[in-house]
Parts: sequence; C-alpha cells; structure tokens
Amino acid sequence: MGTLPEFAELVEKYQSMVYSIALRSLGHREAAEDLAQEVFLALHQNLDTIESEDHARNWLRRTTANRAIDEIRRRKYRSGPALEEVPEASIEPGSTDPLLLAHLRSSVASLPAEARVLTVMRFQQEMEPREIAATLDIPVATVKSRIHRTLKLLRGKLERRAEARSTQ
Amino acid sequence: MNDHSPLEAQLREALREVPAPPLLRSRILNAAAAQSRSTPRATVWRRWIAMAALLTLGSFGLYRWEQQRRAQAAAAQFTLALQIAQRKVQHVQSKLVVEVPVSLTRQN
Repeated sequence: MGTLPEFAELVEKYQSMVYSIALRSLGHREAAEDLAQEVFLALHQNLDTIESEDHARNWLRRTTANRAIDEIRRRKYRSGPALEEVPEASIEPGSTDPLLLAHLRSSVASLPAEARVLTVMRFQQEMEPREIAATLDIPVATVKSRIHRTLKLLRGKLERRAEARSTQ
Repeated sequence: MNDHSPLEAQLREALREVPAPPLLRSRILNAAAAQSRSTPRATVWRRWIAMAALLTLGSFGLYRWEQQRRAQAAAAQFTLALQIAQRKVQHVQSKLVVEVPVSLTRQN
C-alpha cells in the first residue's frame, strides 16, 4: 500500500462506488466526477495511513460522504434537470416505472445535505445505521430517526404524485 | 430498519450504483501522477525553508549565548576589581591604624 500501482487498483475497484455516492448526492455528473477525483487525490496523499483494503473502502466512503455534504451546503445543489440527464435506461432492470425512479431521485436531491447523503449510504451502499453513524460521526439514533423521517417524507411525496396523476 | 417496503426497494433501484464514466479512471491517475511529480519540488522548498529557519534560530541562539557570556565575563571582572579595591582600602586602613599613633608620639 502506498505505491501508485496499488493506488491504480483501488481506483479501478472503487471508482464506481465513489462516483455513485457523489452522483446521487449532488445530482450532477460533472460535479460528481470532480468530487470523485478530489476524493481519490486525497486518498493518494494519505496512502501511507491506509492499512487495508477495508480501511481504504471505508475511508473512501467517509471522505466522499463528508465532501458531498460540504459541497451541497456550499453550492446549494438542489434537484433539477441535471438528475434526469443521467442516462440509466440501459442499466435499470425495468421492473419499476422509470419516471417514478426519476421522481424519487429528484425527491432525494431535494433533501437537506446530511439526509440526502445518509439516504444514499443506506439505500445505495446498503450500510447499516451503526456503520453510517460511525462514518458520518453522528449518533445511531439520529441516523435511524432521519431515515425514518426521510422515508415518511418520500412516501408522502409519492402519494401526492399518485393522487395528482389519478385526477388528471 | 430492514423491512423491505416497496418504497425502500424503489429507493434502492433509484439510487443504485452506476458505472463510473470511462475516462474517470485515467483522469484520476493522471492527476495523481501530476501530484506525485509536484510533491518532490514542494518537499525541496520545504527543506530549504526548514534549513533557513534552523540557521536563523541557530544564529540568534549563538548571538544570545555570546552576549550572555560577555555579560558574565564583565560581571566577573567587575567583582574582581571590587575585591582588589576592597583589599587595597583594607590595607591602607590597617596602615593608618598602626602608623598614626607613632607619629602622634613623635610630635608630643
């Protein structure tokens, strides 16, 4: 650990993870690419402190999450057309209405910074609340209550959307 | 937390990982290589600055030490001069005590 070939392996293995956390948190492809590059460069500078691959993966998740939160707060990224620009029709299994998925992504992108990143970590990275709590350095109870509130909020939005569509 | 409601399943699908753009890997590796190239230059500069700081501190320390040494030497010389002067005064005093009575008797 600490030489460029090993760093290249880490990039190869975790670029999609870092990019996806950034993309779903920021909702902009270019911003997500910039963030991914920034995170990997920070890893490159800190390779001496990385002890194992697990450590590297957790480090990348934590750094991406925290930088995404900072970036959202700084630039006020909100839901917008950039989310729908992401071409995903080919990789989505097609079991769910693509418009519904786009609506969900847009709703997630309208959440406050920390709730947004937390939702991505829970439902994209399949992280347990205690892992998220450790990663974002917040209490487990806070993570659980925020996920609960987010689900409630999203459920409400979906219901309103369904009602609006049924009346059309 | 683990009950997989339809909403949670839909969220998993909506937020699922996507492949990184094809050029991201090379972009990151190029930036990392550039970072590696720039690091030694920065290290050299940092070394020069550290050496200059060390020299400045060293010279200042030496200057202070030399000043202190001179002050101590001057103080020692002054003390010695005082001691010599004191001994002279004592010597003169003792002579006066011994010689005055003799001269007084001669006058009488």
